[in-house]
Amino acid sequence: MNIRRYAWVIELLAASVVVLLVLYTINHTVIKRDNLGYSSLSRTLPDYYAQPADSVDVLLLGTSKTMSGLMPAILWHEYGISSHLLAGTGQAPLLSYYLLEEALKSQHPKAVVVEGNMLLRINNLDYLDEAYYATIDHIPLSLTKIKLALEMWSYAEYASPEVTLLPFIRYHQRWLKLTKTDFVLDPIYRRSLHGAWLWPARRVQLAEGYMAIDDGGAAIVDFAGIYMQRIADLCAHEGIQLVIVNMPDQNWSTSRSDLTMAWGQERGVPVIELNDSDNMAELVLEPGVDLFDPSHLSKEGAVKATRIVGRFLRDAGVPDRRGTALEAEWNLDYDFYEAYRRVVDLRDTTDPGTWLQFVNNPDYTVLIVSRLDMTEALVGDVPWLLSQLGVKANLTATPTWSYIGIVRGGQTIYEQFEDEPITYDTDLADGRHVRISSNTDEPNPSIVLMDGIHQGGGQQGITFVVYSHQMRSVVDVITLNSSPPRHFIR
Amino acid sequence: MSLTSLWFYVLVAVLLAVYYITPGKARWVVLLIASWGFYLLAASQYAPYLAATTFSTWLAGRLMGREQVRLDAQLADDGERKVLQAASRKRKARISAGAILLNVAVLATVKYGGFAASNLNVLLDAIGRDWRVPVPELLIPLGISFYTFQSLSYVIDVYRGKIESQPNLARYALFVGFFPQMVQGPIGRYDALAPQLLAANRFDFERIKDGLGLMLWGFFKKLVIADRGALIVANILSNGDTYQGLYVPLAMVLTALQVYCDFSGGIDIVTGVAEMFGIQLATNFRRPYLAQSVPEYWRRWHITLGAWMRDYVYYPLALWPPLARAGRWLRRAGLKRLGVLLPAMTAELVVFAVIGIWHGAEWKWLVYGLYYAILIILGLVLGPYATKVGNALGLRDERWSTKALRITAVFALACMGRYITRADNLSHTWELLLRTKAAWNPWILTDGSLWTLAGSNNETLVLLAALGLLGVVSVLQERGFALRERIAAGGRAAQWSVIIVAIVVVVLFGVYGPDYPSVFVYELF
Repeated sequence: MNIRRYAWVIELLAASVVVLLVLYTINHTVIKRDNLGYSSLSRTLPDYYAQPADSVDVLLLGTSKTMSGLMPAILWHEYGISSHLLAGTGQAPLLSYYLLEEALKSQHPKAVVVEGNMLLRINNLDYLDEAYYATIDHIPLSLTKIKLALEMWSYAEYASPEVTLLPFIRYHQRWLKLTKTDFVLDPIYRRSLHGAWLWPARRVQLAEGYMAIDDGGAAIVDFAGIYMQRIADLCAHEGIQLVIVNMPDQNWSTSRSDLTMAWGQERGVPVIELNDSDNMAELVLEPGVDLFDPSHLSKEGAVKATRIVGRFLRDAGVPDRRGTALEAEWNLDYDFYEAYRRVVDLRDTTDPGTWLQFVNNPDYTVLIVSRLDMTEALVGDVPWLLSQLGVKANLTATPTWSYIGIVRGGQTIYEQFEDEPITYDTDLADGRHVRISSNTDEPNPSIVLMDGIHQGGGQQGITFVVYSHQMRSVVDVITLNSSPPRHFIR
Repeated sequence: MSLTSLWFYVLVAVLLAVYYITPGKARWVVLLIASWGFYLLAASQYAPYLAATTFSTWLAGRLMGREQVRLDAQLADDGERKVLQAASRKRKARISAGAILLNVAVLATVKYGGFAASNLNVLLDAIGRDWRVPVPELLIPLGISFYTFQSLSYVIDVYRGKIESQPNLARYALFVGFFPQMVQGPIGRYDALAPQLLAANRFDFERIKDGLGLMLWGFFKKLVIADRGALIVANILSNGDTYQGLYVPLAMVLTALQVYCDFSGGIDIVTGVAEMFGIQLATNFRRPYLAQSVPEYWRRWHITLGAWMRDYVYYPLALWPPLARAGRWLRRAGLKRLGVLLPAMTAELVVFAVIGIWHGAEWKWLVYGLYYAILIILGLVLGPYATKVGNALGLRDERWSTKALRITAVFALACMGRYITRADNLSHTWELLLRTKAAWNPWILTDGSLWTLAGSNNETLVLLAALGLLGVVSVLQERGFALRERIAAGGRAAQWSVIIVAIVVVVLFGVYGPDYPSVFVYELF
């Protein structure tokens, strides 16, 4: 055989490898990710893939009702159940099915919990592209993804297979918007919320007609029924217990409940109805505490709902993993959940006094920066707030000033005010580098950088950047501006 | 299936493998199946039009071929050569005229039927008639302007005896419908294209790399320059209150560059694809914006259409005996120069009117054609005087400053022409001219206003850098620098480095994706 004659084959293969590597790098760079976040759809799968093999016993699938209503941290804390939430905004059963197929490649769960409401949802594949791709983009190229791409295409015009399979087609224009955060290879949050979302409580009135006996107008949507059946078949094939859960929903009705119950009964799949009177007695959904909106639970309501689901799973034989090798990591994740729960409350605060109570905590370091010539900012609550935070300088005595300060747990660590721009560099106790700069350079006057990444500032007024040592990241940024009514600007 | 669709290239890759695996003699069958498959996938509803054109022109060719065989047999037996030849020529003329009329009628009906009917109705209304002609609402079959012209050239060339007719309908169908080129050209000639399509082209990896490089250059022009420029132009033109004065001519400059990069980029892509199969398509562009005169511009822009017009419209018309007689009459009447120029001027007028209307069934396209016809006729009439003035001013042809002045002038005229084509209609053209006049704002060239037009400084920077690269490459090529050969001479590392850098540039900086449906401008013609 004349090898030279076939040298082109080697050349073609070598070039193809290089081209594929280049495309992979571009893809990986421009894809939307959340390196600094902890609770976003683009973190759902990366967090899941990061779990040790065979460490997830329960998978939770569904829409935003499940995202907000079930907490893996509570399942762990109360029952020692290790779980991961793969639910997403408006998740269509088609996506649930393929996420399950993908998830089963690395884990062997004992149970899969699926939201019953999905049976009744119309095909919403054709408009939730942002939410879907935030999850799908992180599925590696595989046969599962190819099948998903082709089936999505048949339901949604925007989802042409090449766009689904090669995310750079969709995101390449992000080269304009790439920041340092896109090149953070090691996510700042090493701990995981296991896909959970913590939503704050809202004062929501319970709807009239909730769980009323209606005219039975609800029906299972064909599109949904097909994929829910495939989920049931896949679970049966893999020997996994499928559980349907009807999340608390003020728009729920008896006919919807009956439909999902009947669907479950036909297939021998248990259905947990969180809207029925027995479970409601335990849930006791309080307006202003347990609901985010009429169809979603707040983080407090989620704890109650999760307890009921967890008890069912425990009784169904899902093992308690406490006392195993998983325990240490899961306990840290639970602490992370607790810390994040406090952050949600902190961020939900618009009252300076309440906010102050939250941040005067040794876990938080507050980085303060003002713009030049902000005399007017020192009115209303601001001087009081500063003094309560532990700022020592008598700022009101200086008509024109440039101020930077660092306080922790009510103690001033550093402060400086001058009649000229100030820049201060320091390392926090956990090694993260901070630069606070008060200057007049547009477009970013007065900024706080952490490891070179912009965290806050730039607005007129005085800016407070709250850093949580437990979460190892900035968790809140507020600005009090100089114009009435001096509300927080987030 | 668009030329910018990933699936098109998956299809090309599969076809390349199948093509070169297939035994040599049958390779053209692969191309034929691919071509018809492509057309059916892209626009199956229009396949009957393509089939009708293919069959009718092939049949005409066959009938003329048989006529030639019969003539040859008769000439061998009979001595009355001239009589027989004249009779045969008449019969051939009738056959070719039938095929031409049929296909022109189809083209005219689907492309210009609605336009003609609606204008006729306006005319009827103007003269107070009550009845109206129904306005047909026909969609224009994909590629009809290109494949009709291509197949008509075959019929005429067979009639003229320049080529022999193709006895095999399937082989002929490949010539008419060869998939890379049939949507937006270039318009091929049978004698140059068919032998390549039907040959057992041998696998040549170097040629495949060359084709890949040319394709990427086409993508660069289309996706990085043309589609980015189009966004800026649309931004300027759709915000009439904000962008007036110098913004409008700048939009026309950008339109000129955008259309060039769009069309020539598309041609580079199809030429690159064809090259991979061992087929060299006709050159369609030769750096038109470096032309030093308007006629030269048209010898460099859409060359295959220009050549088609030259061979099948211009020369027959310029040599038309009545025109020649009219010219002689004018010369005898003392209008010597007019007499000399009359045939050429008439032919130019008709050719450019046809070129104009070939682009689309709208008055603006006719005016666009006539705009160039007038420029060229003015050039014919005033040329000698302009030369004298130039000499008096010391403008020497060989000086770079003279060349630069001419190039700039021709480019400016081309940009002026874009006021006609980029506008929605002629009244919009007038509106754009008024918008140009509405403000005097030359400071936008220096105060940074232009940087925001593309949405961000980076976008503008990419566009300027890409145009800069295009300019450098064009000037180098104009000076005879064989860029592709130089890269090839650099060896595999150089070739692949260029290809990979081009891929990165196109993938990262190209304007494409679900939010940007990419259509080639000339696909619509």
